[in-house]
Amino acid sequence: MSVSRLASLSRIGFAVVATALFSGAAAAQSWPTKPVTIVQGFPAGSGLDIIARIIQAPLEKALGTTLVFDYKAGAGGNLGSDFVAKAAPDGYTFLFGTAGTHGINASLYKKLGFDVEADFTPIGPIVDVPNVLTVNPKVVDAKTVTEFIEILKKQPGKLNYGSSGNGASTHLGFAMFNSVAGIDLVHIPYKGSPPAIQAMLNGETCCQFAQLQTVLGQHKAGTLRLIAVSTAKRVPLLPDIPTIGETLKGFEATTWYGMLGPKGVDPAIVNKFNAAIKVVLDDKETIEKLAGIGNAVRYETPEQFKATIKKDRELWAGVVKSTGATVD
Amino acid sequence: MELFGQLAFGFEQALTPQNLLFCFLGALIGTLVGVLPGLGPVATIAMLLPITFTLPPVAALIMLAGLYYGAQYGGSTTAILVNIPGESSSVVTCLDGHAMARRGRAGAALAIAAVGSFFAGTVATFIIAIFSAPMVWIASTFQSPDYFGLMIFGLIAAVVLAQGSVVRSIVMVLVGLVLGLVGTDITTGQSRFTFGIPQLSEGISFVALAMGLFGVGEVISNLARTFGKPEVQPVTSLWPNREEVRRATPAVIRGTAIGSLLGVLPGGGALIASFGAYVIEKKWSKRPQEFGNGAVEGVAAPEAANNAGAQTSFIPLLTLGLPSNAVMALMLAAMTIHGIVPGPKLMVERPDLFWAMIASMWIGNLMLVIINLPLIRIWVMLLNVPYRYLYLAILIFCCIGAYSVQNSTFDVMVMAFFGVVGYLLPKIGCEPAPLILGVILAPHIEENFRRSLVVSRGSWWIFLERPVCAGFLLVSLLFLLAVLLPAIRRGREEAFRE
Repeated sequence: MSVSRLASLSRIGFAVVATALFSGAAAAQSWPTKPVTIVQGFPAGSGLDIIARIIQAPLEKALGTTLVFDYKAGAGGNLGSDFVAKAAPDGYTFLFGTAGTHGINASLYKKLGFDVEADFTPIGPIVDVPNVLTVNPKVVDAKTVTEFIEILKKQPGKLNYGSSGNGASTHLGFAMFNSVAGIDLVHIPYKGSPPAIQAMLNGETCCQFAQLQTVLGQHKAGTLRLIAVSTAKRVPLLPDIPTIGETLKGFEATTWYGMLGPKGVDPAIVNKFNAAIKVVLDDKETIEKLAGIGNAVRYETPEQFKATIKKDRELWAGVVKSTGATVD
Repeated sequence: MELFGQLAFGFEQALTPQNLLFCFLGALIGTLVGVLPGLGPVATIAMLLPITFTLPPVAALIMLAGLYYGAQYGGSTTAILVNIPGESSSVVTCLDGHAMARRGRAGAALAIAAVGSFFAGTVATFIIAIFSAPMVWIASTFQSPDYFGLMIFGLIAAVVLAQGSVVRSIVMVLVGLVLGLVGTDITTGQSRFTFGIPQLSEGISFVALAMGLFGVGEVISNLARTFGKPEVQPVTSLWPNREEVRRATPAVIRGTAIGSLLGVLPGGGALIASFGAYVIEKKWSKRPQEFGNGAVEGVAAPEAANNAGAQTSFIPLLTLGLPSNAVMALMLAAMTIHGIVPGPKLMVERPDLFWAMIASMWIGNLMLVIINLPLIRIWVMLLNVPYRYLYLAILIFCCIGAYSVQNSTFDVMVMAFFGVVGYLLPKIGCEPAPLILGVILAPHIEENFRRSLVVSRGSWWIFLERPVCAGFLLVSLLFLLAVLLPAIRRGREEAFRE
């Protein structure tokens, strides 16, 4: 093969690479040109879906395209994560993930087909979802965290706490509370939050960590009592309810919902998507709608979000280890 | 009477032209969705949810509710005509409904299903209006051991479901139980029988399994037996005759009662209710041999039960804010997005919404009868479509249906697999019905059994200490003896004859 031939070949190669690079950049420039699929690892109508539906219209407006929700429910959200981890990073498939799918599951599940950090491109969180320490006042008549701990210390191992599932944030959050407060309760997992709340109402369990929006109706009716929230700050919707941290210094078990892409999404697309999220989270009407069911908006840059995921992964790994919870 | 005042208030709300229109739309879409096998109300409501955001909440919820019970109506149509459960709660309707169609009584079966459902819907509407509070109280006192007792009772009933040999049906129930246990153990988080396939971690898709066993299995056996010509006798008359009406009436009433009660319980109440109603009809019938060969009661009772159950499953949502199935979870999401907090205070805070929904249930049921009775003529004509075209359409719709539940191609493969199983089972003298019931009950039985023992810290007495649970277990024992004793006696007689 002659030198000139080689040179011309390499020139073609260069041209191909250049075209690819250029068209890639152009694609990122004009993104999005078609509907964007948002995968959820939970069924339609879940707590996650409710948030997705609230931000859908404003986010579509900010992005200038249609969002398509694809529910790949199963394995604690891992089926959805797995799907997105293996999707093409073309900017048209994203995951609406949670602190559960990207913080807890990494250590809870013995084998995952993906890595929650390496196989994803963090875009940005959307909301903080508070868990709230809820009691059935007929079983444990406590009004404050201190009273609650006092009552339970008198009867170690007697009472049960419920959760929406093994390894869910409602389970591990309470387990963390147990060890910090030095109390002893038996964990009983249910299949989702409705049966867990039902069990608390009929006294099979005395108490649980519940996502705020799932117990709001019972709180209004006085059938269940909300004692304290698990977030660092009080929830604007219920300013009278203290945080657990006000009694147990430093206690915080917050779960977030946020957007992630597969690894290798063009940084231009990441920034564009993150900017669109910022527009939505600054929108007064959206903030109010989210606050109406107890959720606070949470904005972070992609880099900050990346750090959040890393931090949460480590935090929950410790809790998973100390509770001995596993799912395989 | 305060109640009548409130109901009148509800009708006032529901009878506005806009709400009537959305009620009709919901009922109509629901019927279509129900008729298409597998494409169920969950997928449809999820798709329609964004549209409802722009509507006033009352209109939106009326439409979604109409869609849900419309699907229960429509589901029976496919079950009767082509032996495919259009909805999971019409699985039982396949047994005798399709047998009736084969005897040329498709029109009668469809009419009985529609009118029976209407009656059940009417009664259930009034039950919700009057007895919501006491019923939800009963349901919310149910703890894990009580559920366990109820489910064991259902399991024993499954044995009675069988047509032929008791031994074979016990084997089928056991296979069903094992299939039902596939997935993640709720208590420990262990995966069982999943072979490392993540799609199985939540268990085998019930829709895929039921459509495979009944629908695809039926298609295969039709094609194998007659090269595509199912044995269908010509349709004699579109309407039920006097004898059929006489036999269906008490069955509808019993079915309504069972459906209304079980619908309130979380975890597929309507589904279990339809099985329960069928079992009771068969057990107390003077002609048990007719069941499976087109007994009118076998269509009337479960259809009434599933419709009544579908309606009373609104009670936990409207009074506690706790959804009892996937459709109710979506309704809860719709309410939440509209800024409505469902819970014990809903009736006080939003009486317009509460009573309008109840009134619209009755209006919706009336509309469904009006939509469905004239359609019977058209549906029956479907039986004249050459099977070589029909079966292709059936298979395509089954695939869409199996896929749409969880957007999973894996479920389509599961359906295909159970299609082959459904074809082979009758060849070895086994029936799919007890197997299906085993699949439904297994997770509930296990979950509540294990949970009871955790609550009692390992003491087995918990099952006898709670009166509800002990009662169910005692009745189950009597049931089992009633079935087994004659079988044992017969076995002896045969032994003596030799």
